[in-house]
Amino acid sequence: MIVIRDMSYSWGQDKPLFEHLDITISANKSILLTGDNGAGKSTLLRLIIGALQPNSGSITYNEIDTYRPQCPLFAEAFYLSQNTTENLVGISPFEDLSIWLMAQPPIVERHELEPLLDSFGVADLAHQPIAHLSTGEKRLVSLCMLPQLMHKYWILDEPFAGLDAINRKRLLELIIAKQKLHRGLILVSHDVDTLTHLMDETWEIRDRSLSRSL
Amino acid sequence: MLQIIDLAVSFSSPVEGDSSAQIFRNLSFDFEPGNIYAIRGSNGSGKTTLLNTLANIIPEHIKAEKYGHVYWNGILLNDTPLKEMYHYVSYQMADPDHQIFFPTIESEIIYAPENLGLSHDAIETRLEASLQRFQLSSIRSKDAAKLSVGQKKIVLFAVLNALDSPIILLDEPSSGLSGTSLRMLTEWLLELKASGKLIIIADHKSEILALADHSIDMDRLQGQGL
Repeated sequence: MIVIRDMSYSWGQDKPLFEHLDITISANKSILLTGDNGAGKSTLLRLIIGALQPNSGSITYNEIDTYRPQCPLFAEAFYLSQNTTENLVGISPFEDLSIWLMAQPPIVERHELEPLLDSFGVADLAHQPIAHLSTGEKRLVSLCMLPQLMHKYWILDEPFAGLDAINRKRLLELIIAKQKLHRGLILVSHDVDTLTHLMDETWEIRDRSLSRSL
Repeated sequence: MLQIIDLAVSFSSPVEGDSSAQIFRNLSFDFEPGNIYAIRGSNGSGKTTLLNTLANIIPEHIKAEKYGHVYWNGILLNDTPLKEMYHYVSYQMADPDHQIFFPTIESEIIYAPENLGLSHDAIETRLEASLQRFQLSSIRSKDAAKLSVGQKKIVLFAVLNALDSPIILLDEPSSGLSGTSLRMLTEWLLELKASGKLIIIADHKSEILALADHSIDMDRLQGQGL
């Protein structure tokens, strides 16, 4: 359970994005986060994963502030930024996935890496430089680890952006499979029509606050 | 009219032993002003490559083998240096971070009309119109680099609007836009069309594809002519 209590946040001297926000996120619920451009959706995800620290109030997981390195959320969650280049650190897709070989406890083995790229149809790009991939292809590579991470809490910022119809369907199927396992996720998307029926809850950021509909 | 004749683009593969990748070849097409053209296709089918080719980013900035001819009203655009292309083409790229440089939204918008050598008053008029058109007036002195991805896209639409070039290329303009912003985009596109602009859009969203008068399917083009 992630607990947000009396949390306020603003970028520098700007108007606050959130004021006195109180909300609890249960680890087995799927949540769609929506809101106008600039409302603070990406910022809220970064606050939750602990990449940002609230100006006041707190965001805790197991009663530890998420921005502290010792918070276990960092190990138990998987965060994908909206900016695909932030998600990919390897020179090639294969090398990027190889970083997971260092995960503790181990999640994959070396011979399993290349087949992972099949899950989003990009196996033929395994050894291409990531810099040569299109925006959509980079997004697909960044999603390829998801089937191995069904046990983690997903925090996904616009994962559907730029996906073609086949890959959209692949990601939707993964999300449905994850819900059957009762493992939670929070994702940002503007595709409210499709996702709102699928997800347990829809949250909208409006006027520095969150409204939720079940 | 924008006319492309026997256009072909291929990248030489960086991986040893791989043959070069042909993105498309023998592509011939006439684009008429006052129309919206959608470039459709699966991820990696070459939508961005086609836009980059029309904008001359290929091959001047991104190295590739490029063959064929691109004419705008009889002017051969192939050999036009990138720095001169703004007379003909404005281009919103998929990643807004590639295109935002200035410390404020205002200065970002002003840069394009300044390059056109317009008078101070004309620049002011275009700036105010663009700020108002895209509801940016209240945040005009904010640093565009610190905005969210969706807001950066809107700033780029405002830049393109101020540049007022006859050909407008948009790469995934709808991705990351909320419902309100998407409506703002579609209204703007219909206005551009009505004012006789030639608009070429690569996108996946049905609301955008529905606006197109014609579409080019990159999946059907792979390795063959149109």
